[in-house]
Amino acid sequence: MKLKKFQTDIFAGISNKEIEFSDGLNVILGKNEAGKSTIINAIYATLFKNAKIRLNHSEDKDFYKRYFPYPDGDYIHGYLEFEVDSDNYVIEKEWSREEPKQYLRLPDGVRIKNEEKIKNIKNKLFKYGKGSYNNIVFTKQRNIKSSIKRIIENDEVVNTVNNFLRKAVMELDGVSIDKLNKKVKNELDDLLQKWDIENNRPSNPDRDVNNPYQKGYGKIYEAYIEKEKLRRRMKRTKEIEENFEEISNDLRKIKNKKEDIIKEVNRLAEIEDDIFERGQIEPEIKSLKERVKGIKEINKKWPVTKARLDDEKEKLKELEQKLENFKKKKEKAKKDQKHRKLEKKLKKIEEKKKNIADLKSQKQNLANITKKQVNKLAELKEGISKSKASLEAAKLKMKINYVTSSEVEIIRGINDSELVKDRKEFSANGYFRIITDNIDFEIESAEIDFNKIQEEYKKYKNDYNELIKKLGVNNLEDARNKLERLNKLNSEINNIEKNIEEIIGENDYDKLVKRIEEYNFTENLDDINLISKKINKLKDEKINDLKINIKNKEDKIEDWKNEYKNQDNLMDIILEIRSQIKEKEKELTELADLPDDFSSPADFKKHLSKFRNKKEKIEKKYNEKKEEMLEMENKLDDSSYEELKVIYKEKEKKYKQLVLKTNKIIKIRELIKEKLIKMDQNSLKPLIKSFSKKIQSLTANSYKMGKINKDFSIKIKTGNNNFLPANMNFLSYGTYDGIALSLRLSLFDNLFKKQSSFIILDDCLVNLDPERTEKAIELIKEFKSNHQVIFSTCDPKTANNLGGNIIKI
Amino acid sequence: MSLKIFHSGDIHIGMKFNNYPSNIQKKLIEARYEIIETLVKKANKKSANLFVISGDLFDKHNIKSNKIIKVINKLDQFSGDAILILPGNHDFDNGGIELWEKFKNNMTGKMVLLNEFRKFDLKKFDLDLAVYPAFCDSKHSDENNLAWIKDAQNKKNNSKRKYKIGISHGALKGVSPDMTDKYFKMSKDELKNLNMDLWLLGHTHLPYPFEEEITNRKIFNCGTPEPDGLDCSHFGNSWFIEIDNNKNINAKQIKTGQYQFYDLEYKVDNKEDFNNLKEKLLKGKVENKIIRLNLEGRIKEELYHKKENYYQEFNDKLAYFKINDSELKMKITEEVIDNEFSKDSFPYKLLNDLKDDEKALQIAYEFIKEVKS
Repeated sequence: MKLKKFQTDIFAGISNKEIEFSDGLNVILGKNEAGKSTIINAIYATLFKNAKIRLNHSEDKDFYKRYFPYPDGDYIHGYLEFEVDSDNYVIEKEWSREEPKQYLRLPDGVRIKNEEKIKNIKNKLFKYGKGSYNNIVFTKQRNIKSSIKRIIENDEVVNTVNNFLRKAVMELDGVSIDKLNKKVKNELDDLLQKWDIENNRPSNPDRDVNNPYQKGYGKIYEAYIEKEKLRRRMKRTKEIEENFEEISNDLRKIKNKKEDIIKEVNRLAEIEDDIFERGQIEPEIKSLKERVKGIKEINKKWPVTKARLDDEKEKLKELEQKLENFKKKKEKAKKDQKHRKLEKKLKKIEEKKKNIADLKSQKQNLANITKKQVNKLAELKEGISKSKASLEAAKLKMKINYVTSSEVEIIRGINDSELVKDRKEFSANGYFRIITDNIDFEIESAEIDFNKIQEEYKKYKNDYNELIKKLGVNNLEDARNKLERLNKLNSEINNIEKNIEEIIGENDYDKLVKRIEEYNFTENLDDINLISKKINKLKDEKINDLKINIKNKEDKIEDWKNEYKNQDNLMDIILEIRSQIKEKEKELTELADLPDDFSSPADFKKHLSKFRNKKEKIEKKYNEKKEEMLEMENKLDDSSYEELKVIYKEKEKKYKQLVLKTNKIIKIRELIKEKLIKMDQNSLKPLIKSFSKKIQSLTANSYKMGKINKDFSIKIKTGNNNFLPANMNFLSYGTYDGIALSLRLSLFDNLFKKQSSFIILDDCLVNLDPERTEKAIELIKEFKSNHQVIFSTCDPKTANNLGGNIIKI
Repeated sequence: MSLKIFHSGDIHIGMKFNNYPSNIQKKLIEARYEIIETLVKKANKKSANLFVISGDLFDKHNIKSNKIIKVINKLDQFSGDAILILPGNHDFDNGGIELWEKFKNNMTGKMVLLNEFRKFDLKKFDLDLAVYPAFCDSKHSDENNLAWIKDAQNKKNNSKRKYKIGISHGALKGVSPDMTDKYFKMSKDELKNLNMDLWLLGHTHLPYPFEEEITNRKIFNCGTPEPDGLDCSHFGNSWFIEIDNNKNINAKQIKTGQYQFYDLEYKVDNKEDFNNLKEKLLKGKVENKIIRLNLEGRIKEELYHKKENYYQEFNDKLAYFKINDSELKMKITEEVIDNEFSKDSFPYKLLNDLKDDEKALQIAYEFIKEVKS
């Protein structure tokens, strides 16, 4: 793209000016204040400034102030012919508040006036936006200069070209990255202090709504706490409101109950006295009526009782008589019994007596042997034995060896003679005598006096036999037995006699026998026990009962007599009581009735007292509940739950908006970081190269670009291949203007690498020293081969040095 | 005889308006007392026989005694025959509420507190009228309290009175915006079936029917006479209802209310829109207007920076002004970015990358502009 012609009727201080531009280098030469910058601004405005001027827009206001003729110029004008890809276009504008005019003439001659359409076509023709043109294509030298100045001054050290360039490009539009970062950081600090945005909660969970920080917190925390506080308040309010409702409901229930109870108490209390009186009178009537009934009963019973009493008394007499009879019978029976016993005793004695007689007859049969006689007998017997023994002690033996007689008589001892025929051996005691026909001889033992002993023996024997005979016994033993029997009989008789004595005692046996014989036993008399039983039965069961009955009846009649004097009086008493009853019944009719729901005045009284208790209790309960309710009412929030809810929604919205905003700022922060890295890596390389080259030529090869490090930092090398110290002040490379020019041209290089454009350099060499000016001119000249250069200057020398199409104004 | 009824309700004495600055807060609180005075005056002027408050006279139960008496004194200025007060869901009466105890103890002879489910015969006020109240006995309820009226209707010898009026508080189906079913919901059919000559309702803050004047309708909702919040962007309303001898009904809306709330939403694209808005907002009694303005739109930077001037003016002139312009944004197009920043410059790239996130773009743009020298 290149500019062909600019024309203006009026624009700020210039009027009716027409300039034609040629390809390559154009130099606008004019004195200071001649309007060089005005022309450049007018060209810019013709391209980019809308024809309609709105004074409420600051940009328009500024434009109006600067370029409209003072005091009352109401329009300014611009006409620009330009060429894009060999096609010619024209833009013409009349800037005005009331009647703006503009059109774009297309290569085919068609004129377009619609603002939107013009804009659309322009966007296609101009590769870049207004901002790029404003900053790079149109000089505005002071803008670039001021950016660079700020970079250098504000940043502590700009030690590498890379750093410088990055900052320069980034802050090209006057936007300081540091400031932006700082702004983002401040904003986030302001929002995020004490807040954990990732988890959406206070960064210290312990410092939530129940224990919030008093200071040092950010906006989100503040909004959050405010919101939560309100939510807590709402929750509390809701609870209290519900409690309040519940308690008031309870209170209502108690109140209703209380009223019911009071109503009941009042209903009953009203008739309480009457019912009390009724309670006294009614039992009185009842008892009077019962008394009448009782007396009537007595009236019936009295004669009956009396008659029965008489009967019973009669009966008693009979029974007593019967008893007497029984008693007599019993007496007789006892006597009979006694005599029977005696009769038995006497029978026994009789038997014993017979026994004695028997024994006595037995005694008579026995000889009258005495103990002396028996002893004598024993003595004799002993004498015999002794004599015999003495003979036996002089034992003799003899043997008959030969005998011629037919018979031989022998006498041995005291024995009688015996006849022996055969030869035999014999023994004999003390004496032997053999007598045969031929011989008689005796042999006597010399040891004894046989004859004496024989004599003694015979004496004893004789005496003994005589005594045996006398005693009538067979031998001593017999004698002894007889003596013993005799003694026994005597003893038995003696015993029986004693026994009889014992039985009879001092009585006389015969008298007793006689008595029995004379006693009259009753025949068929009952057993004494049976009679006793009968007596007892009669006594206990009949007579006693009867006596009690009689006593009772007598007592009863006595009582009646005591109470009522006599039976005739009873009816009078009944009449008296009946009149009393009537009177009391009359009293009753004047009293309130006992309500149907009570069975008795006592029941009534009990019920009333129960309800009075209940009343007292429920009144107490009511007062307590009311107290509780008033307490709860005091707790109720200033505002109702519904009112708080409205506020809560606002607080919540505020909180959410802040969170959203914060997240957006965080996004921006991250994007800034990302962008910085990306820009470092890619887009700056060609720019660095171009800038380095230009710096080199502006500094007459004193410095050139060094190698590009891994981190893309570019070191500046001196001519001696020494690297500059890392922290050298960039200012020493030259003036701002030099750097600014290098930068601008580098930027332009980069923007318009592939297509030619125009570039406007507004008096950019004015502050360079002559040597650098020369170098700069060379640089600019280089541009004219690829681009159309429009250079403005007040210095004719510079204009001459540049050459090209010189436009004088 | 004809009957003239002034029907109001939902006055919400005791609201605190804590989200408003203290000067306007005080005024809003006081306005609720003042409205009673206004209503009574209007009722007196129209020689109403009956002044009816169909619920939510009070916003809550913890109202100080002196405030209750203040309300009673203001009501007592009514020169008609009787004032009927029905507890609503905010000031429900379950029989154990101190507020109503106090109210009852202090109210005057012409006031009738409708806190029992029974017929109220107004013969003693020389009115040939029986009133059937369905008051609220709790804050919330899935069911309305109309059942007893149906039962009463079924009884023989129900009422000898010429007129029968039902008074109820709760959400009226199809009219109330309440969708939660927590507020004693009732339907028109349900009410009609109860054979009243007239139904006076409260709860919904908008009046029903919507017509300003209407004849021979039976169901009326009073609406609030003094709007109480931004969700209540309409005039205050009460009804003046006449029933003639033949039971013809003629009703007129009575517009009241000191303060009016507006929760406005506007889309603005340019200065003209702003100016139109200004004209609208600052029309009429600005000192009684409470406005929350929700603005959206995309405006040029120039105008964007001037929006605060408008807000300031609104703030100065209106009773209360609150702005929510989180959806009002600068128009940051590619063209704007192109125009503002050199290609390949840092801001140029940053902003272009944020093109799809308008909110972030907006913030980034503002930051950049702020740090730009």
